[in-house]
Amino acid sequence: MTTFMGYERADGSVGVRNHVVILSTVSCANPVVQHIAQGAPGAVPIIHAHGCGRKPEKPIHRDTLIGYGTHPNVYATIIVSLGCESIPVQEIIDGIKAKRPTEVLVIQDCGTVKTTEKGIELAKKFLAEAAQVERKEFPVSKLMLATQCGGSDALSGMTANPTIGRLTDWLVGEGGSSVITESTEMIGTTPVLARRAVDDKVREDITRVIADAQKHAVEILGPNAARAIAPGNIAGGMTTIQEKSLGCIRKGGTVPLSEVVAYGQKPTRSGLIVMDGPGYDGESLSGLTMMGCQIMTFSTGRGTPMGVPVMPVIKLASNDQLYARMEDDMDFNAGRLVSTNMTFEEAGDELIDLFLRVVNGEPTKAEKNDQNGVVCLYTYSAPF
Amino acid sequence: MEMVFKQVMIMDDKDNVAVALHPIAEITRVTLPDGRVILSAEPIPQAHKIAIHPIAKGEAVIRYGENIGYATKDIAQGELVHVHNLDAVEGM
Repeated sequence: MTTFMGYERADGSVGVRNHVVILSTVSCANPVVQHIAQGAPGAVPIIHAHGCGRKPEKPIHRDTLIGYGTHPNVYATIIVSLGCESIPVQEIIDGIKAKRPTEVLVIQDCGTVKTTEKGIELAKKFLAEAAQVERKEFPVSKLMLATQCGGSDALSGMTANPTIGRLTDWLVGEGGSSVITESTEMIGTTPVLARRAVDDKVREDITRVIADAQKHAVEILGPNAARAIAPGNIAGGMTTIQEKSLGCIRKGGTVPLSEVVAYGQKPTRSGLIVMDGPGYDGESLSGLTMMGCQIMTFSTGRGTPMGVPVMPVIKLASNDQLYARMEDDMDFNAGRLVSTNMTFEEAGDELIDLFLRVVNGEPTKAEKNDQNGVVCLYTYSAPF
Repeated sequence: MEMVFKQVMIMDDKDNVAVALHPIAEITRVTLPDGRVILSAEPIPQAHKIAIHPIAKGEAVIRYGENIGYATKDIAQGELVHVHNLDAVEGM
């Protein structure tokens, strides 16, 4: 049994970081959130562009913000509300308060200057408390790994994704979980994933999720969707959507498929999980955060620097050229599988070692460089 | 330092194509990971596929151990496998 030193939470989850989060309920509160975080070094601002003007997504935005505020890597949360926003603030407060030490500030009660001052004071108090919390030993079965690819190239599916697949196989073998998502990038892989499903229910779920993604792709791209991959992909050597998708799902290794969950939903089983979710990285990352993954591996061929405010993200470069260009942003060079005699077994072992160092506290490049930015909330309707 | 130069990568034992890691010229010996040597029939651009076995018209093209499409004409060992001789699996 492999163990790591993590942070125990009252709700039974275990974190690999111990963040104090300053959470904006609506975009109007973003500047105050940023100023509080600037005044309390170490606090993590969560800012986003929504919170009003979108009716259909209200429940998903509420749940996403609760997901950030109660994430396993979060010690305490300060909620910053404007006061008149349409997102159900009380439900967000109740949802976060049930699981984490929480403070609430309303800008319309006393203005931005006083709210910022109060916020800095509260954040410093929480940061001091958080610094007193000691890590405890837990089995890695407590961990759920998020896997993502973005800015992919022809080598992503040949070097970086299969290396992540090795980490998935190892972690699931230890009793932990790994999540693959980006439903559009599973089109064409139904027979492969259905064959790996642990039972009929999961087989039906994965078949439905991919059929829905395919139906959506055909609506947008027309009946030739199977051939309609980007021209850049075809020039890069790709042929069919199956070929591209098979490279994508390599992040899920070779283990059985335990469960299929909706966007941001927490799984009830451990093992390999599919989250039904969008291909757009920003929205995908919020879903993976909301479901409670504590750490992420992110493969890229062109170079995507983005991180997640509450989660360490390990960046894998698929090729040597990218690693040389963006070494400041890349944690692992999977291009060595092409340029040297490195085997998949060696690459997998090296990634497992890196994963263990990161869950024990070693910062990733995205953490060191503060590549958190603005959180994306899932949107599909037009604003009013 | 020893220069290492892998020519192609094969993702699964069942695959009937390999992927060129660097551009391969016409009529060049290509050493496969298992040590077998085949001859390229035409130039293979980087990240494109080369047939490592003959693939008959209508037969599945296998990569990652899975069917990625069907040969639309007979493909000889060493030939480029791309959208000119491979089409999508029906209905995806």
